[in-house]
Amino acid sequence: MSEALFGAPPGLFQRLNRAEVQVADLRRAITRLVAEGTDPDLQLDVLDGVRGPVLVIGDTGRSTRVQLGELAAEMTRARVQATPAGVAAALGSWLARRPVPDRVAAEGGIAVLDWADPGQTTLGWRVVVLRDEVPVPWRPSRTATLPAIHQTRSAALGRAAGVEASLRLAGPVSLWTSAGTPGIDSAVLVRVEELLEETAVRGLHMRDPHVVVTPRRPIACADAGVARRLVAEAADAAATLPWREIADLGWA
Amino acid sequence: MSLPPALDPAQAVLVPHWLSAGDRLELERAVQTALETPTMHPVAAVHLTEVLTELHVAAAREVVWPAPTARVRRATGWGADVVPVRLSAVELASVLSLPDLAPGAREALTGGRSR
Repeated sequence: MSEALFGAPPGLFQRLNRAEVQVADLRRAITRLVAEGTDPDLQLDVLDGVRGPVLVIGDTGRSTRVQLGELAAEMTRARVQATPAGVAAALGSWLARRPVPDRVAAEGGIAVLDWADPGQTTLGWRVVVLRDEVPVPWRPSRTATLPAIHQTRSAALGRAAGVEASLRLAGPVSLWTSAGTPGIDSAVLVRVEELLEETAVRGLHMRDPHVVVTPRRPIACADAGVARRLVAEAADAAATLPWREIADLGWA
Repeated sequence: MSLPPALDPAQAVLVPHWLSAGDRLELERAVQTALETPTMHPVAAVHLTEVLTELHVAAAREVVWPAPTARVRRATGWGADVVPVRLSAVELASVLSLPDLAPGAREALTGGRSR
């Protein structure tokens, strides 16, 4: 899932900003965050490594390490403001996207559709966890066993089936969203047959339903010709597939 | 991006026309009235039906991908109800041939924001 790692991207004017985020700025932001102690599961330590200070993030049994120098350079590249508030906001936003621990994914993961390749051509299921309403993808840690991965994935599919779907018709197009939680709309596709039935009950009968999937956006379903018209010149990457192919999609 | 298999080899180019909610309502009304005329030529009816489809599809695009149009609206200062309605040349011609189409909507399709 590609997203702005450090919060909303800055405006045009901000791109003129040439101030660099320093390791010391990051250290201060981390110290402040630890002192505030907002997230009880999250443990932050700065250790002195061979190549400079290292931030060690501990979270429910999963540990992630990152060079502070690299993180500061990435923030500079992303035009993060080198002020205490700017760095703190970017750090908070970056931490919200930290790797999801296996246990957290097993306990609360939801299956959604996401791109399976960097070229954004193939769709696959992916387990995500909602962190402050933002879906964060789970990638199994190195210690996760194959049975545990399968179990987490099947539990996530089960939870996706429990996601409440809301359906809206726009003429020949049926629009499906996850009610209440944005960003996990494709979870409703585990029940694609039910949604097609409901669409028919509402009076829209399709001969050859095609599903238009844009990861993290609402799902559109329409006959092939209408679907083609819908995605023509769409700026975002979207995939259109016959509804029966949803069942054959693998894991991203 | 993957597209469904194209069945018709002649894929028409769709040109966006930026129409307000009022323009779209008027367009829908005029097309629907024309389609109810018993003397309507079947080929013209096909194109007009496509226009009706496009009006719905334009609304659906706003739900799925609102960001690109929002950026255009922010840059141009157009109202929140202005959305692009993409029509092929033959669809536009079939709409403009409707004598019943109100001048406001006609203007929006031929000049207005489309230029």
